[in-house]
Amino acid sequence: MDHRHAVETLAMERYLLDEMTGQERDAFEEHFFSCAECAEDARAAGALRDAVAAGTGAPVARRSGASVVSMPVRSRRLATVVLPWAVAASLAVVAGYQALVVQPALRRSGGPLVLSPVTLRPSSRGTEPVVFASAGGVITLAVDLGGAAADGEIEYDIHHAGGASIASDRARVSNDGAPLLLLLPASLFKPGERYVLALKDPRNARLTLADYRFTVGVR
Amino acid sequence: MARLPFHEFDQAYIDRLVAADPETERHFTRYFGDLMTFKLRSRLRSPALVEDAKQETFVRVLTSLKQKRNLASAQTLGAFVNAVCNNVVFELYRSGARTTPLPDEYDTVDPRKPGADAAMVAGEERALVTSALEGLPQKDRELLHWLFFEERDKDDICRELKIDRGYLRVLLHRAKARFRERFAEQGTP
Repeated sequence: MDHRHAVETLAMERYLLDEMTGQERDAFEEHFFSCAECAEDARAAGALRDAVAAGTGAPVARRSGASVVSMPVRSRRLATVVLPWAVAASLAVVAGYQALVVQPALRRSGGPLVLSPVTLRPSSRGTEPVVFASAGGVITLAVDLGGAAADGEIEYDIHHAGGASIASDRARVSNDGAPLLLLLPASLFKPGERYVLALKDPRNARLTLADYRFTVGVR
Repeated sequence: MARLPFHEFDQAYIDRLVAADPETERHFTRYFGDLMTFKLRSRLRSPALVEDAKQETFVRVLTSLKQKRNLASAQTLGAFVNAVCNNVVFELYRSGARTTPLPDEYDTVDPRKPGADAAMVAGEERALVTSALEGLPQKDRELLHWLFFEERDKDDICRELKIDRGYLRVLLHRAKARFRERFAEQGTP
C-alpha cells in the first residue's frame, strides 16, 4: 500500500472501523510504520480512540449522557419499605446490564464490575450524599422518586450547583415507587463539586417536581 | 501524540541508536511505542500484554541493530520494527495457547510506573487531548462516543443517522481531522 492509496481509500478510517480484511490490515500497518505522514495520523487516531474509550469528551447529549434502567416494583404501598431492597435487587440488573449492554468498553476489564450506587432523596430530606465513581468509571444513582413521577414520564436534568447542565433526558418511570436508576460516565463530573438533579414535568418544563443535591467525592 | 521532533530514519539515526544516544532512544521508543500501541490494542487483550509486546520488540530490534550495525536500507526501519512486532505477537499467541490461563488478577493493573518526566509529559498530553475532544462539535463527540466508548454496531449507527457505511467513514474522517486541528492549535504556544 502506498500513501496515495491509503489516503484515497480512507484506510485509517477503515482500520479504525475494523472494516479491513486481515491482508489489508497487515499491508496498512506495514505502511504506517514506514510513512511519516500516516504515522502521525495513526498516533492521533490512537490518542483519540483511547481517550474516547476511557470516557473522555463524552457528549452532553440527551440520549447518551446517562442510561436509565427502570425497575418494576409490585406495590406502591410497599414502596418506601422495600425501596432499599429494590435498589439492592436492581444492582444485579444494573451490573449485568452495564457489563453487557451499556458499557461495552468495560467488558475489556474482563471481570465483574462492582457498582456503588447512592440513593438520592429529595433535597429537603436528610444530608447531602457524596457519590463516588465505580472502578469502571461510572457513577450510579438510584433516585427515590417519592411520588414525583408525572404521568409515567419525567424529564431529568443534571447540572452543576452553579447552573451549567451536563446531562438531561426523558425517562419512563412507573408510579409504583421503583427508583429511577441512572448510570453516568464519571467523566461528566468534576470530583469535589456539587451537582443538582432536577426532575421536571415534561409537559411543563418550568415545573420542577423535585430537586436532588449531591457532591461527587474525591478519592 | 504531541508532534515529535522530526528525525530522518537514515544511517546516522541508526548509528545514534546503536550508540545508545539518549535523545534518539527516547524518540525511537516514543514514536514506535505509540504506533505499536495503536496496532496492538485490537489484538491483545490487556494493556500489560501490549506493554510486554512493545518492550520485547524494542529489545529485539535494538539487539539486532547492535549486532548487524545496519539494515539493508535505513529507510526500512519502520517496516523492520513492524515485522519484529508481528513475530512477538505471533509468539505470544502461540505461548498463550500452550500454557494455562493467567490468573484473573494478572493484568488488572500494570504495576510498572513511568518515570516522573514521562508521567508529567503524559499528563500534559492527556490534558491537551481532553481539551481538544471537548472542543469538538457535539455531533462529532456523539459519533466518537458511539464508536469507541459504547462500541455500538456500525450498521445500527448508520441506520440511526440515515447514512451508508461510506459516509460513516467520511464523518469519522472529518471528526478526526477536527480533533487533530484542535490538538495542534492547543499545542502551539
